[in-house]
Amino acid sequence: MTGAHSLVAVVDDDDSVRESLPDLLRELGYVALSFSSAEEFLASDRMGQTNYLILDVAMPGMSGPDLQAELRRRRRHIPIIYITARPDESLRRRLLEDGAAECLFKPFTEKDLLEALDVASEDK
Amino acid sequence: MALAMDAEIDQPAPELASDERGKTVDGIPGLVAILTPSGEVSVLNKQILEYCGRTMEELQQWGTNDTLHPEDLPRVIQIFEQAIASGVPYELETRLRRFDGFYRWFQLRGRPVRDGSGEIARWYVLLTDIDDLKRAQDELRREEAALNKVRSELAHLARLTTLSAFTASIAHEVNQPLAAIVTNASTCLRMLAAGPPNIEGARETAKRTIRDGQRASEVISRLRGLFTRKEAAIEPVDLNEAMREVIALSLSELQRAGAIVRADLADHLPPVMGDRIQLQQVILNLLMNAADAMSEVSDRPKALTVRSEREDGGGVRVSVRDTGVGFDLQSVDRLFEAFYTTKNGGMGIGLSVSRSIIERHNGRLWAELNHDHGATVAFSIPTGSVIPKREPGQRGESANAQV
Repeated sequence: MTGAHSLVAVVDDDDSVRESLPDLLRELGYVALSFSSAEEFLASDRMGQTNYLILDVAMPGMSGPDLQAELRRRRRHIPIIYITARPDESLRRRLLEDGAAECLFKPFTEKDLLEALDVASEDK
Repeated sequence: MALAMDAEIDQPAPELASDERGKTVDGIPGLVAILTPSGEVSVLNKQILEYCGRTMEELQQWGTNDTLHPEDLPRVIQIFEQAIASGVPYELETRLRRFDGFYRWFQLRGRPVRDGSGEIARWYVLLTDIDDLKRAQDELRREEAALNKVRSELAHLARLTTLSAFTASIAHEVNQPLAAIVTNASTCLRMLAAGPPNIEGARETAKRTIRDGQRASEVISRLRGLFTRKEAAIEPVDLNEAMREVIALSLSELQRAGAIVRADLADHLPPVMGDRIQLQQVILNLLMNAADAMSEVSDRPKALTVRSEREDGGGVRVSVRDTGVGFDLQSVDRLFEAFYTTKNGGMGIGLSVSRSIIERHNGRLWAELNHDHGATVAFSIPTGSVIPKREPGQRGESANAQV
């Protein structure tokens, strides 16, 4: 397990995802935090310690890719695993080309998540 | 006096045709017949004889020969016999054979004339050639039928485009709770497998799984409501509730387009009578239009405001306001034409179908430019207005009083 005790930030506007995913990440040995918007994450003082970002694509206000662009502008590299409820292969391809470690379609399994975190750990 | 008149009327018709009364009716610029109280033909003016090209004797047998169109005959005889028996004026339309064998439509109006004692002395019948009118009406009806066909095809298309617009949203709405369910179930298993097992945590996680499952099933039941019913159903509709549902189903699609949706719904909105699904399709259409109108906007917030309010005159108004590109004032009327679109990917059926739906609810739908940016499209529907049940696209009351 490459990322145990690493800090994973979940940024998703959906309540039930924010409620469930951090619990599973904790069970998997990670430290997990959740944020309901990209803006909230950017304003957080934990941003600097974040090892992995699990990021929703479509959110009101700043979208996932908007956050990615902002982080790039700030020259801050955090490996990103996108999660989206919209199963769109061309969107997934675009996000991967644009530097995401992985893009998972909701619903995804624990195995999908672990593999994605594995890929992301090589992206540090 | 009455006796004398009856005697006169009861005389054989050919003799009467050449008497003073016959000459008088010949002078009338129209086709006129005079009947005995029992309905026998007693006088036919020259115009009728000339039109039909038949003798008096032949025309007296109109009930058994082809003077009237065979398809009309049973109906005419029934109305005629009823009128003669009851002494009530009649009016009917029938095809009458011309001298050359060609049938033209006539309107026949029969009126009894009574003598001093109130007995029917004779019937006057006026025959009016309405063939041209009838043909024009038929033509109009054919055009209307064609128009209705196009309308219902448009409504069907609108349903399909609505469906496809929803599909992405539906996937999103269902996948969201499914993701939580799968995640919670994994967490739950891990908590139970831990040593010692985290029973309390597992129980909480299982509870959340149930709740998310219910959430997914609510999405599906909303959809079932939107797409399974085909026939229009008139019922009291709470427009606020209808709007909330449409907003819930399309929110992710609207947010994907970058719209910031705000709903400003009036309290205690009275229900309107109408077809809930059709009204929801209109609302959805207005929302999608508003989002599309803002797709190119980058210098200001893409604000989409949905509002419901009571109108002073006792109606309900729904408006959708955007901060998009607006529309050209010159072409405002064209916005409502079928196949007119300002969008590259649009089919241009939305607003015209929306307007026809609202008009079937005795309401109106209009668009106006905002003072700053974008446009507001609104509709209002009177409350307590009852809509006749009919197929979408059909016209209202029929103008011709057919017998």
